[in-house]
Amino acid sequence: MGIYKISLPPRREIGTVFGVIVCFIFSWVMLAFFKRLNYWVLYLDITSLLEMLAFGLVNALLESLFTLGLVLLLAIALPSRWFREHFETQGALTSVMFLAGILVMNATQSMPSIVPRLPFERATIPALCLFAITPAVNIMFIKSPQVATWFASISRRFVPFIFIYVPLSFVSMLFLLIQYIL
Amino acid sequence: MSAQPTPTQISRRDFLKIAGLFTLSSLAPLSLTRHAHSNPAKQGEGLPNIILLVFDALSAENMSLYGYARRTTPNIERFAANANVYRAHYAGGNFTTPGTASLLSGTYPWTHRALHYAGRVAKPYEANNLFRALGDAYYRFAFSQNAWVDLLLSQFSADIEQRLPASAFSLLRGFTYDRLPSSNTPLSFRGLEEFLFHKFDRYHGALVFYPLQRALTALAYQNKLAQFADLYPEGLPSNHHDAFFLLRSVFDGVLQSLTSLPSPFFAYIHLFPPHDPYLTSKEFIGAFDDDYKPVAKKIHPLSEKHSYAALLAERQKYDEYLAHVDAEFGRFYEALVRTGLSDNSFIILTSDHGEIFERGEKNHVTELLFQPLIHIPLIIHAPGQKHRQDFSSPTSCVDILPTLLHLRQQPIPAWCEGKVLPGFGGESDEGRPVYSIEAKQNHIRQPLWVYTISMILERYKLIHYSHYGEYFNALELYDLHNDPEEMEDLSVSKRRTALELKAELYQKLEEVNRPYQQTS
Repeated sequence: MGIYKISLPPRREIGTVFGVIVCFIFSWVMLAFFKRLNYWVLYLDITSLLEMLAFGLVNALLESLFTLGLVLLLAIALPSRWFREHFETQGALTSVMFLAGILVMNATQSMPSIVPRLPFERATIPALCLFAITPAVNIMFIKSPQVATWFASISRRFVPFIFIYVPLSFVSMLFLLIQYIL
Repeated sequence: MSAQPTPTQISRRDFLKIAGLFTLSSLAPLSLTRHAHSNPAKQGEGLPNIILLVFDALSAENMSLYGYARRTTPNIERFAANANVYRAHYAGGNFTTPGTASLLSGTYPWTHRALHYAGRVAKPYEANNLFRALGDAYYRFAFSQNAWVDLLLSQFSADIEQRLPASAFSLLRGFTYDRLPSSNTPLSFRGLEEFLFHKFDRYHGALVFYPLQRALTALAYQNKLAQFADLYPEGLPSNHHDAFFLLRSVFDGVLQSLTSLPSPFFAYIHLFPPHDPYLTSKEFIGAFDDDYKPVAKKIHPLSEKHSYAALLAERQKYDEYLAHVDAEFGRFYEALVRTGLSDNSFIILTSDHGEIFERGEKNHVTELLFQPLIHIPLIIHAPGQKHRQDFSSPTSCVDILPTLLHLRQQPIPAWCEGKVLPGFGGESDEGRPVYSIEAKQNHIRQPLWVYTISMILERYKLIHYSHYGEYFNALELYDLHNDPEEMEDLSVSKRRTALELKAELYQKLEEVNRPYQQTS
């Protein structure tokens, strides 16, 4: 336990990175929800719609924690001067690049994907390109402290989203538990 | 339905079970057999069993039994040699939800209101279903590979003794809804299949987990495919929800289930094939590599405007898959004969809707209602029947429920819109209108407003399109006796007939819309 305590970045910086992740992932789930809402309202009642939203929010919280876990893993695994010392900037930047890569993969995949394929056809290529340039962008940010500071200050503005979405997710979880039991 | 605990009664076990929903659901065991009741005492001794076998997206227009040029269904023909064959049988809609709901409820979609993709029967009509109507004299068993049907079946679970999950008899299943607690199938289904892991929409809710889920499923799929590549070189068939299967195993599983059911039983079996993806076995790949070219039809304005060549290629794949389904059905039927089940069972073979490969449209995701989409097979073998009888008057899937009740000498409920089938106590009735309805863009609690409706009356078929963009309030009229291919639209040359039929349709619509006009 002691090792992890030493290796983990400061809590405030983790909060900043988590804020960025939460904003990204929860925005996506809200977008996905409202994109499909116009069809759902034709046949689902308000309870069912709330259930769907709750499912999305709970899943988004799990995805956010998963993504944060990946970034923290990098912070632990990589030499501290590469990543942990600039965690607020590097963590936020890596999260954005990672999630943007997934978005790109999403946008380029063939639909419908009834038969899953490996590799993900063309969808993987642009996403992999994004992942590949992430270290270069990170280095660029380290080399330019002004950009890093600017990016960190932007990232900090996302922290309030944690206080909006995370409690909502817990309420959703409770709501779903009740729906399953009743 | 089994009693559910109230929130105040949450035990530690319940809590752990639900908590597992979010974290450990992928480790849940495969078996999801639901026993709504233990086998209750039956008063139905001596009654014949009923096996209702539904093939998804099986169009009568592609079956050699119904005159198709390719020999796609020799085994079903063998089965039909000892059965009643309904030559003009129609689905309630052009896709699974309305078609199946009509079959199971004996009502048209304008009544049961399961109009939408993954829709369900409206609450007030839930009790009006075949399982309840037959009563507990039968042991009622249900299995559907189609998850949308499973969603409907979950509405009737109080009247079903045993319901198997959609992934039963499959080689593998993905992270699907039936891994979650079965206490709330619609919630699990909608949350996972319709939102988080929706495969037909880029806007699936699980941004991070979706690609992970696809990758893990792909790995498992590749592993299974490697094992069975000899049998299925083009890929393994699936149910659109990551349940990949070998058709033979599914039939074997169903047969095993049937032979273990207590008699008398009513078994509703809804198999996904020949629904797409059309992945046939090696034996049938190229089976119809022939020169057959169906008559070219005018591209319909509401179609996706696929080319004739593309449709021809799709049709061939469908026909080859159908031939595979037919071969496996042949094996299944032989087993039913061998085990004696055919001697003491009604065996009903039908479909929920058809499939189209013409006029620029393919599959069945469409507003169209041409014959390939709604003309479905209905073949009924009575216990011990040794001859074939054909009926050509129009019949509908809503007729199956009253026919089964009539055979049990039960009264037909007033809510039922079907009639007893000829050959089982009913009479051929050319003067009776038969409807098929597509209204997936209509609100469930409002009068039918956005729809396509087909009305078949005597020799004519009227298709009315209400509100589809430029195709507004449009009519098409076909003479099915002289023009079964629906080549010539008579709505202009026989304007009077078209308007008379339209008036009759409007009268019917006014009647069925009345409850919704009062509330809307």
